[in-house]
Amino acid sequence: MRLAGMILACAAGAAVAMSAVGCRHQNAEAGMAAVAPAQPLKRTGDEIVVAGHYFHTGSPVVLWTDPGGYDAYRVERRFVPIDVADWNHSKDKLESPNRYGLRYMLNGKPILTPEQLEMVRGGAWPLELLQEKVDQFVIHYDVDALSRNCFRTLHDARDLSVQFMLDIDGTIYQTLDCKERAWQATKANSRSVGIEIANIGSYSINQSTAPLAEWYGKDEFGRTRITIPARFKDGGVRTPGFIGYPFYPHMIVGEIQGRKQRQYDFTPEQYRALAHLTATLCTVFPKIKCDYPRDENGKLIRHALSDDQYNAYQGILGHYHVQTDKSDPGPAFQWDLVVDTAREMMMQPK
Amino acid sequence: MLAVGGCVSSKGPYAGAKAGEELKRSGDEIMVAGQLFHTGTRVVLWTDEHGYDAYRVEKRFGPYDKSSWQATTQPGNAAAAAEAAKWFPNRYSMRSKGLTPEQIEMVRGGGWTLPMLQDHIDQFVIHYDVAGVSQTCFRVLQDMRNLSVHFMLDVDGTIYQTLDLKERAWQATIANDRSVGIEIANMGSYTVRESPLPLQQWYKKDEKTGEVTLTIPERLHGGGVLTPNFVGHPARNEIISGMVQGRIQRQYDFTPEQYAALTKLTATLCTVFPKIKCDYPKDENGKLINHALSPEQFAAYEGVLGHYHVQQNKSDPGPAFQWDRVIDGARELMGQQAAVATANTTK
Repeated sequence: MRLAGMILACAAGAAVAMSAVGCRHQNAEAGMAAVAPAQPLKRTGDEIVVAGHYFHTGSPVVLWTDPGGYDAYRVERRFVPIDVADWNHSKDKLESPNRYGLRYMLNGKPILTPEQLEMVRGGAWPLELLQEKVDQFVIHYDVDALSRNCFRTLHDARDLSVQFMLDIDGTIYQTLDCKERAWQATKANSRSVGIEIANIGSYSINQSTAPLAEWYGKDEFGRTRITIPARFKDGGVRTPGFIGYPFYPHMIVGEIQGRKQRQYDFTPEQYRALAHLTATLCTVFPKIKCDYPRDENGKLIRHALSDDQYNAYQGILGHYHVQTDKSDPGPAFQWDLVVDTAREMMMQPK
Repeated sequence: MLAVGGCVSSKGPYAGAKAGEELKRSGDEIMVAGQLFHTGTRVVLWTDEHGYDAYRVEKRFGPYDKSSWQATTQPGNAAAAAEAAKWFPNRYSMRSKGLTPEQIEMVRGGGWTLPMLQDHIDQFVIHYDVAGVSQTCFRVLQDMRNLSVHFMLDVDGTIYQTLDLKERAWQATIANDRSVGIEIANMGSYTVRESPLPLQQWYKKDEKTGEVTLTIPERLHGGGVLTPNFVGHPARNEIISGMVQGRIQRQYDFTPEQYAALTKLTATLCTVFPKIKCDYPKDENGKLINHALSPEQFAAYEGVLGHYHVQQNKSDPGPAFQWDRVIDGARELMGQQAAVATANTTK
């Protein structure tokens, strides 16, 4: 059924527009003439949405508009009982019916002209204008360990949002168009796109590691695996029967913000998907350089950037580079693996 | 590389495209449960540049610093506060009628699958907007009346989709749960007792040629019409009189561009939603019913219909609307499409 539809779409397009390349239409007029009503525009299921444009990533993405997606545009709370989910029953728990805003003010100054503001206040961003404004990609861990729980925390409890969530099986969820100002990283919100990677987080020596003990155990072969607590059932993970293994089996210890932190690494599936998404974002947004914050010796900076450093920085960075009170994505995060893989993808010919 | 865009890659589901490569849209797609379907005519989605987004909480026009939910619901005096308390941040809701608790849990965040939605939707409701242009229509719905509609059709034939069709738009009372709606830009119809002043303002007759031209009032600064320098004419040059809800009404016809676009959209909807039959409400002689359906007729009706078929207090899309032009045209398109499908399956 699905295959037949795709063949039909291609055949119909080719039959009418002989000179068209495949199903890609050079201009809107030609494209419209070539296609009969109700032919599907087949998506691959790997697309993100930026200012209404669809870009392939090469890795599975569930959009907020898709079945099974998480939609941060909605006013209602997603998981509380349905009869108390609406705004009237939520307004004493949440400050705002929105969890996102407009990329308008940065460091107390408007970044849009009055004409631009009037054009985009309802969401109608031209891609080119957005490309001028977005120059950072902020990496978080979610301390919820599952994207479903992450969305519950952001949307139902904290009145916050993030453009992307990355679940333990490597599924990327996009919850808002990248044009929106998600509420994810304080002063970076107006200039950045953010991602929350499912991971229970890092813990300093003074903190209990009970969450790590709860979320990680051993499989029958003695390998370290993610153990979703029974109260979360399957955790909403999209891959049926998925068992997640951290990239390294041992606990990673490293210094962030001047404190030793302990954490289990992310899954290989997460690294693979994140590399694809990073390559995509660094391609779509030319101002996001495919690199991370480095010191004069080229080493990862392991604490918040100074104001001057931060203001000048254009690229990928951790939440802890933005704010001194944050540790994510933690000491386990493999910056080189992500950035080097993404760079390789970007260098491959089309 | 040949396998791009809508065509499938031969190398597995995700191998066909480079990261960052755009999936090219034609600009003629509507969105249904997250899936994109071509219409063959220009569509601007709520997610697009130039789009109108009915998911948003804020007012779209007027002073920006007074547009937020907080600003619109914290007025200075008691009367205004009482008025504001009636407002919802949403202009749409869930098509919850007939769903099981499990299905509600699945779709409450927007998670409709296409087959579920196809099972639910069986009507396409046609309105005129009495706003004249789609930009004003959206201002009235979004900023003033807390209402919504899936589609708006501007004078130049541009279709705007403001919500996914999975949403229950607030457009036609008892039809909202089961229908998709469209507001066609047109100043509406007027009984003999009503002043035809809006028609005089919006339509001018050339003294020499006698040709009637749509004239958008200057206060609207072009009315946001997307086609540069668009000059519109009603599909028929004279005022059309006809009976709707038992009253004679006068109206100028829609533009040819609107008919062309609506025909394609109708063919698309009647194909995507098999329960929407490509027909309009007819009496036993096969003639258009020009008043509201009885509750029994309405309950049983599956197809294209006017707002006035739904409600007795409505006259849209008015006496000028050419039902046969749209339905026959849509059927022809659907027939061509069926022929293509047959040709491809028998090959």
